[in-house]
Amino acid sequence: MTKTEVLRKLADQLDLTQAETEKLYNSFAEGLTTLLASKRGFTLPGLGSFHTEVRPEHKSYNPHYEQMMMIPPKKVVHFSQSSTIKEQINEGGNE
Amino acid sequence: MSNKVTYNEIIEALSRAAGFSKNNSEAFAKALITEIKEELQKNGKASITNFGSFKVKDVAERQGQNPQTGEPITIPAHKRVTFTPYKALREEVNTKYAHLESKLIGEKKEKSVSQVEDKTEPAESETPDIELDEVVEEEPKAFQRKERVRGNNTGLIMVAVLVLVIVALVSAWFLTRTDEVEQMAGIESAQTAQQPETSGESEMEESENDLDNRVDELVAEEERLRKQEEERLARLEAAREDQPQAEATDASPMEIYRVQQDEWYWVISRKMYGKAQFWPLIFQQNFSKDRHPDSLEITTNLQVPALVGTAENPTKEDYRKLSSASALVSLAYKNFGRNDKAEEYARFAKKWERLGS
Repeated sequence: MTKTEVLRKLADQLDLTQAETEKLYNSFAEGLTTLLASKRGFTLPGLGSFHTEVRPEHKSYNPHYEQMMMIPPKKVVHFSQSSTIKEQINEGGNE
Repeated sequence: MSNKVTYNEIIEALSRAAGFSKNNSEAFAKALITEIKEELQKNGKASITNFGSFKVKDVAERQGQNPQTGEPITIPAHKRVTFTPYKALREEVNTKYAHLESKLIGEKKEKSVSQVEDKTEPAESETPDIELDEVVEEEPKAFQRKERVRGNNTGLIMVAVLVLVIVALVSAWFLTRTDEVEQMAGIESAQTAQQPETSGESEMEESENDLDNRVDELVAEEERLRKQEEERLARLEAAREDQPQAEATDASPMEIYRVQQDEWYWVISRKMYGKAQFWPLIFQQNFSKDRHPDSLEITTNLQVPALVGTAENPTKEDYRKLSSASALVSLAYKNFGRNDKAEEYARFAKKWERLGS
C-alpha cells in the first residue's frame, strides 16, 4: 500500500482533507524520527516500542575484502513488538 | 525507562507541530496504527514513509530453556513483527558516529604509495648502466614478494650484494682500462659487446676468478629479470590497446600505483580518490579479459586515471566515465558467473548515467 492510498483512506475515516492528513502524517513521522535521534524511546500502543541503542565497536568478517574488519560503533533503532500484535498475528497464522 | 516518551506526549507534540486539535491528532495516530496493523495482517508488510517498514517474519521452531528452572523446552514456530528503519531515520539516529569508518585489521605498516608520472616504458635509450640499476632496484623486490610472500630477508641481502658487486665490477673495469689501455683495446674488440665485464675481469689476477663466476651468475640473473620486466610491459601495452576507452582517457594525467599485499580495487580507490565507489575507473583503465574484479595480483602496476572534477564533486564527464566503467565491471562479473554482482553494477552504471546526463 502506498502512502497516497493510506492518506486517502485515513482522510475518509477522519473527515479531513487529504492535504491535512498528509501534514499530520509527515509531522508524525518527523516527530518520531526526532525523538529517536534525541535518544528517546516511545511506544506506539498496539504496535510496539522503539528505542535506540549503541552497537559497540566489534570485529567482523567482510566478505568483499575476505578478511576481518573493525566495525565502528553505531547507533541503531530497536523495535520490539507489542504483545497485542504478537497475539493477533499468530492467531491469524495458526488458523 | 526514564527517557521514554509517553503516548500522550507524542500526541501533544503532534498537535502542536501540525496545528490540529489534540482530538484530531489522537484520532489520526490511532487510525494510522490500526491501518498498519491491518496491513500487517493482510499482507505481512507495512511502512511509514520516511520512517521505516514493518514486516511479519516467520520464526522456525527451536529448542530453548526455561530461564527459571533450566528445563529444556521447545519454542513452537511463530510469527513476529520486525521493523527496518529507512535510511533517513538510520542516518538521523547515527549522526554522532557517522564519521567513523570500518578499517582493515591486518594493516601492519604504512603502505607506501609510489606515485610516478605516466611513463609505462622506462626509457630504453638511456645508458645501460643506469637502466640496469633501476631494474635491479625495482624488480627483485617484486620477485621476492611473489615467490616468498612472508618477509624473507635473503632476497634483500642478495640485492645488496648484487649492487655492491656491480659497483666493484665497474670500478675495477675502469681501473684496468686506464692502466692498460692498449691491451684492453685489443681484447675488447675481440670480445662481444654484450659482456664487457668478463673481458675486463679476464685481465685481472687469478685470485679474482671466483668473484668472476659470481658476477657471471648475477649478470645472467639480471638478464632474466630484465626480460621479465620487458614481457610485463609488453603485456600491459597489449592490454591497453585492447581497450578503446582507455585510449580516450589517455590524455588525462595518470598515476601509477603498485599493488601491495591485501589490496583490492576498493582499497586503492579509497586511497587514491578518497572514495571506494570509484574503483570501476581503475578496473577499466587496467582492463584485460582474464582479470577478475575481485582479485588483484600483488605487485601489479595499476594506472589510476585522474578525475576531471574532485571526488566530492565529480563532473558530469566523471559520472559518464564511471557509468561505462561500471558497465564493464558488470560484464566482467558476468563472465566469471557472478550474476548477482553483475546486476548490482549494471544498476550502478544506470545510476551514474543518470547523474552524468
